[in-house]
Amino acid sequence: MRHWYLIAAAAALSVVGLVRRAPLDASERADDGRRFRVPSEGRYHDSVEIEQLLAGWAAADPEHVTLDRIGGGPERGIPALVVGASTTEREELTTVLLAGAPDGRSALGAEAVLRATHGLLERLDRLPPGVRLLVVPSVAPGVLDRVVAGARPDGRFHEPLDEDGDGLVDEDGPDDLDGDGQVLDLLIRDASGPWCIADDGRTLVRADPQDAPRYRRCREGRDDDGDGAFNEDGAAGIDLARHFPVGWAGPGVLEGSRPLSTPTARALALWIAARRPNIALLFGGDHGGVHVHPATGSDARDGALAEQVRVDLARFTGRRDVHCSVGPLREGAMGDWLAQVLGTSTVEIAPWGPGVLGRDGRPVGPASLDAGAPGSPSAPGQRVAPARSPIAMETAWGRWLDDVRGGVGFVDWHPVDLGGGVTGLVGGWEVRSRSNPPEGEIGAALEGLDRLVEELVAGLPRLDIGVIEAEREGRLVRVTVEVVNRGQFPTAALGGADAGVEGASDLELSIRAGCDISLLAGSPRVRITDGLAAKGVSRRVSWLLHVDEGATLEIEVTGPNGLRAARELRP
Amino acid sequence: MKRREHVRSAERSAGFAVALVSSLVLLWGTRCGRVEAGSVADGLDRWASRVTATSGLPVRAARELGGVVTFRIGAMEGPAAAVLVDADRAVRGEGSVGQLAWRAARVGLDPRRVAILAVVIPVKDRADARGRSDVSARNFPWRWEEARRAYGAGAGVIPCELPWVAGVSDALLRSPAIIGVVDARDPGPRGAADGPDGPGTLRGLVEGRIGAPYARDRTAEAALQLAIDMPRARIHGEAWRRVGPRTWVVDFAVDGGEATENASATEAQPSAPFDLTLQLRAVDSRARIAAFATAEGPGEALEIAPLRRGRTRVGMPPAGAPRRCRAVLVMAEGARGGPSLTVEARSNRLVGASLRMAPTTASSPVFEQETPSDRALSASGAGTTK
Repeated sequence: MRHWYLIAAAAALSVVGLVRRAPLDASERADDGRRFRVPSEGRYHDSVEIEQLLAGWAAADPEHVTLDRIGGGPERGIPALVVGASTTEREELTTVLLAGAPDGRSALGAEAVLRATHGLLERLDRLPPGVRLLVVPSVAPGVLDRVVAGARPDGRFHEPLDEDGDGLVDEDGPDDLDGDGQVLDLLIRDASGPWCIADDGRTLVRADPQDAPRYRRCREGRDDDGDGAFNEDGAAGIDLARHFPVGWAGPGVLEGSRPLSTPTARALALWIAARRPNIALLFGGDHGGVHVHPATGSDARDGALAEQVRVDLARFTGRRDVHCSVGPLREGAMGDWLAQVLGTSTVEIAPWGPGVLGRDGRPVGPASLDAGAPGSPSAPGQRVAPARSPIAMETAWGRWLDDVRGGVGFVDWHPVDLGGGVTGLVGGWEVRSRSNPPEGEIGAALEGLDRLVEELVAGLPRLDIGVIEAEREGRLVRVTVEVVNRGQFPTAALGGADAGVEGASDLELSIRAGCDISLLAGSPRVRITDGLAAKGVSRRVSWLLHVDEGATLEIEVTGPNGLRAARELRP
Repeated sequence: MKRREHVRSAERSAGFAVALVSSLVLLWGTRCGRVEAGSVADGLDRWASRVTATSGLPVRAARELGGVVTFRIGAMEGPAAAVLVDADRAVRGEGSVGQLAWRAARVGLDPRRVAILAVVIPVKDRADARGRSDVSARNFPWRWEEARRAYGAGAGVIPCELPWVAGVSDALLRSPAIIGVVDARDPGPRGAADGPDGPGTLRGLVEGRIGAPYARDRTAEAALQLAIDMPRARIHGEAWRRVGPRTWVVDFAVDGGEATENASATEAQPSAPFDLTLQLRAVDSRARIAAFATAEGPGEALEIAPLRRGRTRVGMPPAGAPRRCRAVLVMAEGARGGPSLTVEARSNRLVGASLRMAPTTASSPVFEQETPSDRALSASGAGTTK
């Protein structure tokens, strides 16, 4: 007890540390014998809880799981996990990125990544060799925290900005005008406004010149600064969904002064770029289906990838008429940058959508909600749409609201007095309805997504060399082999630095001859054009060799983006 | 027994000694950390103070990404002429930045309205980046996607991938108004600094995005000349009429560009349409501004324009044609005498101006122009800034 004061100080620091930690949910605290803590059911995790979960997983298996922090400084950085192969030889790795809420709106996307990662960790031994996972449950933790806390999802980094140039900062933000406890949308009548209300009395559609009445739309609130504009200078900033460099439409308040001008977003982009993922699974959006971000010159690859993921999504989640599209998502989207600059095969999987949960808590499918409507999200016979149709999606959500929710989840447009003789209409989607489901429905909405991810990861293209014959007659040896893709995806689906390069999807089969082996017939290098389909088998390739007794043949096949297999043979 | 007490006492003393030493070490460590953290900031501030002491002009220093440091010399708001210098030139003694400020002071640069933004770039980082990859030339955030398609990895995986490129871009884009950029950097071993022009280049960013002229000139004298020749707004008081017992009408005109002695008219005036912000203030509380109207051209009718907290924005043509304005002032009930009005014109393309107008008599109003006139650079005999 000589150093009682040091022990006391250490104890005090420990207590402070414990107090600073956010309380854990009962299910996360419970020692249920599992190696990796299970994310709690039935609620959204904020960024502190997410970091705690990831830290716990990393501590449970430090050999295979590493906690990382992207960026830092005053914004605390983005917690991330690196799972699996730890070799630094990038060429020998297949890297998969799992990222949640790429638009900053989908809290359910972050939950999907947590569940999927937990599933993969629980069956870490089944992770294919040479596969590395990059896990970023929330690409913008601060933005996500506001959504989890119940704010309306806007995907925006909140920064003090003088958006209306009046020398004041954030002086005209949104207000709850009608006292219903929610801040929704406000429509102000304007003869040149871009919006009008559709026939259903609910949906807003782009106004044609002959349409009337027309409106301009903003957040619900008063003209606090009396400048004639409503809520034009509230607490808001750059929109993560418009902040990446491909198709960037800035400069602007939403887009930033330059692409990735926010330090956190810049750090995220550089972190991902340094690790060059081959496949990215982004969990976000409200279409309930699959959207593939196209890479330059990879149309066939993208179409096949979209179809494969669509089929798997339907299989594991039970979703019907799964929405499926290929195309640039929006100006400055993260997924478009991944696909077009890094060449990553990038798929957005929407955990939430109009057909995800029906009245009985089971999937209904948007098409059955919206049967026969023109331009429905996935009309029969046209599985892969060229791009998402916003009108069709609005219609599907409207049907979902009426058929499944009995109209609850949308506040009908109703008049409010804005002062000065001006009347506006307030209404719109409630916070836990369209962008993210109520907490009680999280589990049902995510049902099967973890198995989908497991299947996709397990199904990554994997080459193998099958030996058909290896016959020896004295020193004369005849060898016939074929290349097999053991994965669920075509070899061309693996994105990376080679994506879009002509001939990059080709495989090359080679046999190595040495001093005790000479090649008598057959080419030492054989090209297999266009790669292999899922579970595909190449044409057979034969060689005639002169091989000394006991010598070993080395056969190797290489493909794009690090695909490789080798086999030794002693005929 | 005594011995045991003695031992206990010795233990207690030793314990306290350890505690004292630990505390001192802790305090010393904290103190060191604080001094260390403070010294970095002090270094920059000290540098800025030294430039101020040399030149007598206000200087504000700021850190950007990638080791880039900016010094804003002169007015802390409003337009600025930017000069890009290499760090090795800037750190020798007081270096280029100090000399630039000193010369700016000598030629009478008005520190209330005109500014020079010196952007100091760490050469070593730039060289390292070039050594690793040839990214820098096309990595600036202007038509970057085109640069990416044309030059591939040479344009980087994101715009501003190189931290110093981000630092320079942020410094230029965040400044309220850059009226021109003089690139005074060492061209480096390749002969040309960061590419001539086109997608992804610094020149493209300056000319295409910021809309300001870009020049390469190692002397940095050009930046000073640019600041001296900065176009300035003018307000012309025209007429002051009493139209009712308490109502007064003030007519004035604003234009966007006064060519200085050294600059040709095309250099001095903005080459594209721009916005001019007018701030109108009734000088005393007895009067209020009831309305504001403006006409686009000399023959056009005056149209009522919105006035928010006395502020309005008028679009200006590039050629410098004046724009007619009219303010209507109403005196408070029972107030005696006439009102007076101050108009301030500000833009991100011009040096601002202000004019105070007061009718001493209805027939002979006073128009007091507050825009100063800087002396021409050539008259000062200033030398080169190398």
